[in-house]
Amino acid sequence: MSIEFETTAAKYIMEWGEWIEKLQLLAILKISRKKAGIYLEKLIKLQNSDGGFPVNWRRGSRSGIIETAVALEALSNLKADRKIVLNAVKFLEKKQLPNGSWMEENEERNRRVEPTIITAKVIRGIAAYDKKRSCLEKAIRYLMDNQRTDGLWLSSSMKNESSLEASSEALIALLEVNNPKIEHALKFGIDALWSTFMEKFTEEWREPSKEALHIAEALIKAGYGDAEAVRKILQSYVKAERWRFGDRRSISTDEAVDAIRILILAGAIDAEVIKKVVEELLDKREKLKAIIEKKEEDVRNYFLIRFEEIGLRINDEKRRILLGCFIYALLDQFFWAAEDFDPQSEYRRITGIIGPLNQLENYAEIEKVRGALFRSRVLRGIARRRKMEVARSIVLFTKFLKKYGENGSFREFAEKLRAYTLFELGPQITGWNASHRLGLLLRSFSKGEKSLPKLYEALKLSLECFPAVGSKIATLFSYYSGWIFNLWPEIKKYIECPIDWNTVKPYGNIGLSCLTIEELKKDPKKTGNAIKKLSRELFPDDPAKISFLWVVGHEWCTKPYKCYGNGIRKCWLIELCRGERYEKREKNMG
Amino acid sequence: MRRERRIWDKYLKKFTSRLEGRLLEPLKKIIIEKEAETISQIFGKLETAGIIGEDFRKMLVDIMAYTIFDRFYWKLRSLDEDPVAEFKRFKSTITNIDDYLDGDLIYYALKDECKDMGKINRVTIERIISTLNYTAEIVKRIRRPTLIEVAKNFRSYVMFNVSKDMPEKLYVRKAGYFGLLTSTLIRDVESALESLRLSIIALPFGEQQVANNYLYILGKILKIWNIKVESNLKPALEPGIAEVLLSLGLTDKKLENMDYTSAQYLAYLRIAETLFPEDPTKIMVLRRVAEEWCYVGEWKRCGECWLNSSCPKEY
Repeated sequence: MSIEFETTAAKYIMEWGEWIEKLQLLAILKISRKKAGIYLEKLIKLQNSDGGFPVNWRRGSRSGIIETAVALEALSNLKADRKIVLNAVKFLEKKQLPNGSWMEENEERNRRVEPTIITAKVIRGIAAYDKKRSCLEKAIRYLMDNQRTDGLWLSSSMKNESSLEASSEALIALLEVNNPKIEHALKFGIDALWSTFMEKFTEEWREPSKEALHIAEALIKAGYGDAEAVRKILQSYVKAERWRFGDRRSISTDEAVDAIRILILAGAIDAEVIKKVVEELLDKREKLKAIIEKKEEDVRNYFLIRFEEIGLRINDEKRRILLGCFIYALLDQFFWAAEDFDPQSEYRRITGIIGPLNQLENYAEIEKVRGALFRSRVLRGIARRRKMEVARSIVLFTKFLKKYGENGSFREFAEKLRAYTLFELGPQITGWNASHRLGLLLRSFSKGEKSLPKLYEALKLSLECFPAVGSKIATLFSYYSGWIFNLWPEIKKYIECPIDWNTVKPYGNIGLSCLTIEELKKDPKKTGNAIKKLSRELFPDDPAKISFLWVVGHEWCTKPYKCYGNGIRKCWLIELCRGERYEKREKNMG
Repeated sequence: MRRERRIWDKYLKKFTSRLEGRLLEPLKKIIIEKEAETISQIFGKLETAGIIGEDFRKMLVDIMAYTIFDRFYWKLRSLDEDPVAEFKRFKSTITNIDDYLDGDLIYYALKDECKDMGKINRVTIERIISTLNYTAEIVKRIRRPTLIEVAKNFRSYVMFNVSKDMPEKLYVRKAGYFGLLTSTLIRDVESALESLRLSIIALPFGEQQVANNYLYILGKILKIWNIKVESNLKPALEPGIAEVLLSLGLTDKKLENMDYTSAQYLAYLRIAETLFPEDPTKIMVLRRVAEEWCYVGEWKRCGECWLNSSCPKEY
């Protein structure tokens, strides 16, 4: 079977997947512990004192059986520290019920996942570590006792019908243990599964399903991998439209991990090829991290110089910086809307008309601000309503600064802005979207949220309630004031970098995305979440460092005359970009 | 403005042409004539349900429970159950305001005392219980039965208490109403009614239908505030009325989205406001028409209907 997308699928998981899915993929590919370091460490840090891993991978939650089984399998495959693995095994052994099965403590969860499936998953997890563990005997006995007369397993104790998913999970677990005592039960089960599979294959499975994939896994492990029906199912699954990565119809990342595991098992795709791509990707990310660390100050200075050109300096009074950042971020919305728009010169012109930033009373007068915006030649094509909204926003923010701007800490600033937005700006708010944000802000206020991440969210929500301010402008403001001017070092951990085409293009150019540049260009925002995820993985304490990509994009990638000839040699990303695009260009140029 | 034009283009083309052709005059006349009869019928129902009494606080909570039961009117009718009788069963257990604060007791009243209300799903029952709990809490704080006082108490409690306690998922869905409530300051009768309406919609089981019916009963049927509020009341849109509107050829398609901010509800509001600018709730006569003849069973009983002479029967 020839499959061309295997590498894209792996990139897709590494780009869009959750960290645990990435770790699972690395474990499947048997990538070295060192390279899987970021994810492995994250997993190890999550381990609770009882040896288990928290439910839904949320730090501090009680330990979950399924999570621990999944973690155990990954840890064993990656040959993690023996002590950590042993603690997880001990946790599972402790939680085993007298009948040999495992059940989640949460009833809601038990309703969704059946004991057969949970038990099978745990057996797989423990068997990956040690197949001779005594608890496995009892667990196998449980599975054998619950095998029905038709050779399959029940879907639920409430329903009296066999479940293919539960049956295949049980069979995979039994095959994993490979105990001679269970040979008969195993053969009986596999025969039953095979006949059901053939029946469904011809009648129901016109569209390949996830269920078919699980059964295929059991059958492949049982030696039916070469059977025509199994191969056809795998082929149709792979050729299905759902493998349009990044598309809304695309398969989910967890399903993609399962698919890769099974396709490797079937020998349908070459694990070595995928491994090579994933290792390259991991190397690239490490190199990118190193470059970004090295250039961090350059990035900050790049922005500080731009701000200095418009008269904002790092030593200025706080209120002045805040107002300047707010106006500068607000003007960003005209970037694509107005031709010949240069935010710096427009900012200089507007503030030149209204007056110096430290004379707040000028900025609190709507007539003055409105006049400055309406007199602009460049903004002539922009709707009057939009300009009026921007003017109102500036006035409202200035009024807030006049009242509360002297406050030092971020906590105080965010809390007061939240109260100001709710009770002074709130009555002027119209429209459903702004009301929705105001509602969310109200909850934050009534709950009295005071933790920094919550207050950072509240700050963004408050700003988004201002007229003409959307999510991007709110992010830009907090990025300028919090990261560039470093007004509140305590929130560095939560500040995000604004994502637009300038960030996405270099990200695609260096081959970190599973999508092509053309696909990325169609909807740059779509990749925003993947870039945010990457920044949190590379720089958990300062994710805004990824704004490095914005500078590269703005200075080189989006300017064809700079990404060419001698100009490209100055590019900060030339080391990483060479492999992907530079060679292609050199080749084209002969 | 653009939204307004879209509403008229999408739902009200037939209405516009009928209005311009003066074909709606007979309909208006019948509705105005029959309004008093409709009001007395609703009053009778409230009396039968045992809601009308001297304690205004108890009345406020009882009416909330009644409007919640009324929300299931068509479902109960389809099961051959009389909603008023069902409410009376509920009231046999819940007799005073403190009972409304007891979640277990309400659960018992719904599950064991009522015949069919107990069959609704668990999540809905939980929402009904918390809505009644909150209403009782609010009502206990009200000192005088004035509209402003009632509205202020509802607003502040919903803004600062309900918003805090509501489950995350439900809150995200309702956040817009909380936002609208925050931006509606109580200054006069109109804003007080709007704020009260939004407060009710923001409650866990609050919906347009519940909120508008609640205000309709309090302000127009029982007139508990002794002030003229008719022009500021909004009629409730519910499936029966939507069916009658379609039969009468007032809407181009059946109105199915009953949300307070939906275009379909706004279209309905435009019809009511255009026909009866001084009292849009007059259109609630159509509910009676739906109950008696138009939406009652498998067949419409047009021959007996009040509106038979002026109904084009466009169903």
